[in-house]
Amino acid sequence: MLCQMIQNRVIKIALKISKLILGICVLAGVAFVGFVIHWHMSPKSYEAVEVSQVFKPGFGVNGFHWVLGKKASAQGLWLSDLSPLMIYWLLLRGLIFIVLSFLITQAFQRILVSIHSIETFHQNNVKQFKIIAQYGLIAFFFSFFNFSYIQGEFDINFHLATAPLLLTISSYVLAEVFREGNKLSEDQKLMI
Amino acid sequence: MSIVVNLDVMLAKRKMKSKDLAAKIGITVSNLSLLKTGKARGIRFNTLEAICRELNCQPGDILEYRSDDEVHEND
Repeated sequence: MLCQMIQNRVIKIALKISKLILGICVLAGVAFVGFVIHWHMSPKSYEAVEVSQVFKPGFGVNGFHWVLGKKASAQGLWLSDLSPLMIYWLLLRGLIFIVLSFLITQAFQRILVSIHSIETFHQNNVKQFKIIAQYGLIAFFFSFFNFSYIQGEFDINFHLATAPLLLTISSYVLAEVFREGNKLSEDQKLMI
Repeated sequence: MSIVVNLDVMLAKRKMKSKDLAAKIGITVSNLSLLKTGKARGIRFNTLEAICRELNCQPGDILEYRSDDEVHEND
């Protein structure tokens, strides 16, 4: 009984955290789209934005700094130095990671809701874990490389992102565990 | 499946309704129906014991093995 209560509390906390992450993803997505629209309307507003780490591969986009005056680092570039193609690539990449984070969290949330309503080994959970694994593969693909094309110089970087790969493998394993659990649960239901 | 459940035959012999048997052995009518139609994956010993007690019969009167060929012939 006590164990059940603790489990329920943990699931409730996990559900709240997943809702928070979903909210952050939505806000980040809106901010990204808002940035594109505003950048189109007034490109001069972004002249003081320095980019440094944005061409590194891996999950996410980082390295935008608002700088007043001198650049923070010697390798840094002004956002206005980048071609529209590069800016669109960085935004598209960022949006892909935001959307993937949203979809993965949403799938986890569905599993948590199912566990909360004591339908842990429902067939849908197997499907959700397989979906998470597929999103993990997409995240792995986009984390694997990044490129830059600035003033005629093309540079491509590769990186073996282990986190999305581990997510994919563990999700496939969990899908199999839940499939077996579903089979046992069905057997149990049909045992008179 | 090769195991055939002859529960409906025994119920007819004892002139007992499924509803009454279900109430006496403490299972739901739908579960008893699953057992009668052969859709159940298994039967617990205590369920079998209760059925035999209430119908005054042996497990062999309820459960019967038939080879797959025999089952298909009857179908």
